[in-house]
Amino acid sequence: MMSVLKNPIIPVIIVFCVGMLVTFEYFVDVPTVKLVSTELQKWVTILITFTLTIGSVNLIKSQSLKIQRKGPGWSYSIITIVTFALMMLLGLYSIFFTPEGLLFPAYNYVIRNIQYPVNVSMFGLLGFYIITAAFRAFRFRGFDSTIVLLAGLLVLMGQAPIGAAVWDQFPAISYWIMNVPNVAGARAISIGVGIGAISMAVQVLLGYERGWMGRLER
Amino acid sequence: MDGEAGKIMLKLDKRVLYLVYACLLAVPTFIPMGLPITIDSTTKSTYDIIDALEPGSRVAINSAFFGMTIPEQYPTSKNLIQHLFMKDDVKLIFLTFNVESPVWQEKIMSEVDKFGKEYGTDYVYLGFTPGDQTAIAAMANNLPALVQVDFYGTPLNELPDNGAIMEGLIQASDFDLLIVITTGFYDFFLGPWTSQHGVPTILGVQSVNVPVALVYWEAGQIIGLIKGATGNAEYEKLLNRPGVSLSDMDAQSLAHVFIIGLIVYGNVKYFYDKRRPTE
Repeated sequence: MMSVLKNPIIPVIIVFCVGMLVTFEYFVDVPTVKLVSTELQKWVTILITFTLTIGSVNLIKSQSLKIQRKGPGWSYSIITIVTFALMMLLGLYSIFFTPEGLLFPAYNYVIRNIQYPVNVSMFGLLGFYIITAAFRAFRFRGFDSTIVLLAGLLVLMGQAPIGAAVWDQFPAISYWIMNVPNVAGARAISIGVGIGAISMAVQVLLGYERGWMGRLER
Repeated sequence: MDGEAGKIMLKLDKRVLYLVYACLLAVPTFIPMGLPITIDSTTKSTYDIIDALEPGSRVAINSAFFGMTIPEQYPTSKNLIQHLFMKDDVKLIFLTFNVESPVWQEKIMSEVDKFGKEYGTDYVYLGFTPGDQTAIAAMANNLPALVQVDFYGTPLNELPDNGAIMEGLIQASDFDLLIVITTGFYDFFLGPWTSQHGVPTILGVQSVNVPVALVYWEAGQIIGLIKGATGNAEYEKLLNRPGVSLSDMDAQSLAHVFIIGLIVYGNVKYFYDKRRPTE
């Protein structure tokens, strides 16, 4: 029995059946199909919640190993584990022991006054990297780079109010660049990504791509 | 570029650039420039659609707040929610599939003017639903199957008037409008909610996502779009409620001018180095 269950064809068949059902549901309006598909999707949301636990365990495991081996930056691993534990305990306490739940003031305070400023500061650094990238990357080197440079300059002027104050046509030019050539390129990329995703999905459904099975594949 | 001044310019330390940039961003805080802003068609369309909502309309609003996206998405969410509260008898159903969002959603609700709207009757917050893309798709087919209680633990059928606000809301097509405020994950809604169930959809995205979001705007898949910080400022102007986004536009103007100046400087330096490679 166990050897039958270990047969790699079993999960491939399950994936095929479930995948085809959910895909089929998108294109037809049959109540029974929608009911089964929705139920399966509900099961997935429960499974995803468990994967959060697996992710947390992996995080603690990898950081603990780093501390044990005194790897590069191991002191930051201590901070990671301590803050992870504190935040988890605070969250669990908020949910199970306070009437406010996730709106418990201490929990809110940590999110709004510690996590948020740290996150947004990291993101804000990008602004400074952009200014060094701007005077290094935008060059009149050749035809292609000149097009990029001119388009960038025109969009920069069009997107900010000062552009319209200097010349009232800057917003219109910027609008055209964003809505015509940019959309054309972005559309091509989106379609390419979509076709790639469909291709990968078909390979998974038909069992040609089995990387998701991990060791069972071997 | 000859002479001492020229040499100093060409060897400009980037830390000096960072300092100048930081000062330029801070100046409008003390000396507002008040430059006029033009309203983009995407923002105007969003405003007109919300303004035209009929009494009794039910609007689903998803706000996905991640720490780094809040400076742009918080004002988007706040402006749209404020406008919706200004409408008569428009019911709001708040969803979220992101664990950080409840904290910020609560903050928005404490800041907007509700014009006498009551929780449970005029708006309800369904809280965080785990599962991301799968949960979004499942909710589009059968909302009651996924959510039976609101964020505060009240069963939906125990809301005022026997849960009248949620009555008849089974699948996505039962909503009159969907507003998705997120960064990059709007595809999760555009498939099941917009394409499959045909819900009119408005997106609120970050500035970096605008080039891709415009694809959906140009294709007609979305009927409104708020383009990050610029869109927020335009919406505040349309609402006639100046806020932080409008005041940020002055800083954005100076930043853009500075970056253009750096590009010009970079090219001057590049051609000077080409002409005089060794010194």
